[in-house]
Amino acid sequence: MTTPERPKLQTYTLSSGYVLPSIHAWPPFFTQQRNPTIIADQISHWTRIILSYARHRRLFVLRIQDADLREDNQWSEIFWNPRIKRVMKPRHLETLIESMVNAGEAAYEPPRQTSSVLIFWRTPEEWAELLHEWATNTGHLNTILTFYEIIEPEVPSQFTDMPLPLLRKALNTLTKTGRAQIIERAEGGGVRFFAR
Amino acid sequence: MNRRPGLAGFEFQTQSLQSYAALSSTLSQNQIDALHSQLAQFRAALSRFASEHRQDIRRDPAFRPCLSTDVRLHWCRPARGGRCRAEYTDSGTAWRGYQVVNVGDRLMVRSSVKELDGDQATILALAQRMGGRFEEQHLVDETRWTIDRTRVAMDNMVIRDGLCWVDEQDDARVSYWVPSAMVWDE
Repeated sequence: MTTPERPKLQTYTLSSGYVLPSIHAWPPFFTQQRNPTIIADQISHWTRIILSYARHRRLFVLRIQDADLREDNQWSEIFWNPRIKRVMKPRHLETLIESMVNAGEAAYEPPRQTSSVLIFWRTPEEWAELLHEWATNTGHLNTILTFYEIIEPEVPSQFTDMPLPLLRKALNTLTKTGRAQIIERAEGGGVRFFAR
Repeated sequence: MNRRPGLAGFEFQTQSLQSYAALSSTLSQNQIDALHSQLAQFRAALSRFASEHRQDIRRDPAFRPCLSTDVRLHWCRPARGGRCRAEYTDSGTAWRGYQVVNVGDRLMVRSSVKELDGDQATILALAQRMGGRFEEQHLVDETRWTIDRTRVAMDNMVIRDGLCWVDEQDDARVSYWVPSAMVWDE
């Protein structure tokens, strides 16, 4: 008896240029598995896809309702695979989100709910370093910058569209080491960066 | 035996194999040939692994004993026929428990201390033949097991052993998938 050619699972390049790993073409990848070792493996693959896709598309927020959507959603390219007719289910995504939060790869935002997270394809600490570096290189030390000026600059920057809660988390890590001071005003907050 | 750098330890003791063989009056020449061929393949697989991961093996103290440990091969008569097993053991290195197992007509290296039981071997062989995906009914047809018996076996594969993945979005309601039956691009 001869064994048939083994089916081949291939990577897939999306129109945006993002390359989906071959496991994304494997139908059971879209079902929550039941063995602890396999679950850990599955979570790590999904987490890597979510974080790298988010970085690729500059997505900052993930919600449980992003699951089970087959179109018109910024996440549907990874949560829906029409080539194998498989889709991420909300309960599955909830578990993934929970594990990402536990691993420090995401944070519930707003706090005290579990259906929406900020995702950390850069950690708040990494964002903090980038912000401080940027302020230093662009001559913004010791002057007050509004949050608005940072996340909605006239010339698009690496901080464009960064959610305010994420900016605050990043700045908070700088205030702890005296490298920034947050200024709260009625018309919106601001920050002053200091040299080390 | 052809030696390669860094592989001094991977020398199989064929003498030991022969002495085992001599003890058994029922071993056929075919089985011995088959085992020798398995060993050659296993050795080739180890060579590939060692050359691909040479840096890691050198760097990681847990692997280092592999470079100097004798590898002994034991082989047992299959309990219920049809399955030869070459077990690869040494004394307490990272390689302990690696096994070459026959699954269908394919040879697999299994990195676990536990050996495949009869159900696991049957199910993995079915999965290989089916191209990596099968349904409960395929297993019933194959084995003539009762539904209850089949479900227990599949629960073991899925939950206890983690040898099969489940797909609950299949047209068949549930299907089972075995990664080793597929070729992975990446």
